[in-house]
Amino acid sequence: MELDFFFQQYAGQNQFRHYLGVTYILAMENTVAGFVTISAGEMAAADLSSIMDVRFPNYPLPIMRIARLAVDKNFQGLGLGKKLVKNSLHLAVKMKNGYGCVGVVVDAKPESVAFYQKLGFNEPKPNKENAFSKKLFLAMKTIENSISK
Amino acid sequence: MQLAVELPERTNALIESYSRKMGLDKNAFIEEALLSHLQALRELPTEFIIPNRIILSEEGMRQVLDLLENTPEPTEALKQLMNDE
Repeated sequence: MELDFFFQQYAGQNQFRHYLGVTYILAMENTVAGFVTISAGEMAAADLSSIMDVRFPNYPLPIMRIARLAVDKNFQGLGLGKKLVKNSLHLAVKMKNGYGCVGVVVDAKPESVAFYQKLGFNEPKPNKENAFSKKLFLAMKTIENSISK
Repeated sequence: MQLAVELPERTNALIESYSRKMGLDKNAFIEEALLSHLQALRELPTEFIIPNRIILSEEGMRQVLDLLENTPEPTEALKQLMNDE
């Protein structure tokens, strides 16, 4: 319900008015079968100065976020969610090649966490716990290594 | 009214840099940024705004850095997903 509402009322505003994200629609039989909203973002520690070591520069890490993803009830079980994730991961590779991206973060509802974990997403310890969604991370190199040359 | 905020050095440098490029003094630049953000908050309920920064705990950030340095091999499920026609 919340995802329906987001798509109907706010996905367009996010994209065209505030430039906060882009929503891709998967259309079947002249109807919206699913959608995914993605945005560029960054990831940082609450106190960045306390964490950074010689491995990485002292600024936040660029990421791509899968912020919202949903498949219409009438089209579930057809693998459309997987297709949306796959396309999003390919977009992340383009982002990395274009202007930098260390990985993908998905805002996963508790019931979707197992699906993403099977794909290799990890849950780094958040600064604040959120019971409604988990932020799961997949490193760019892992994504690139998964694609057959 | 005067507001006092503590900003990380990087954020401060970005404000300096962009306000110079836009020909605004820092006060005007910050006010404009706040007004834009407040407008977005007015028009979009907070839960539908996608914040661009994810804040992790120190432990979480170390986990991410470890994952970037010692990249795990892709799972079979991921390989299948990315290579299926």
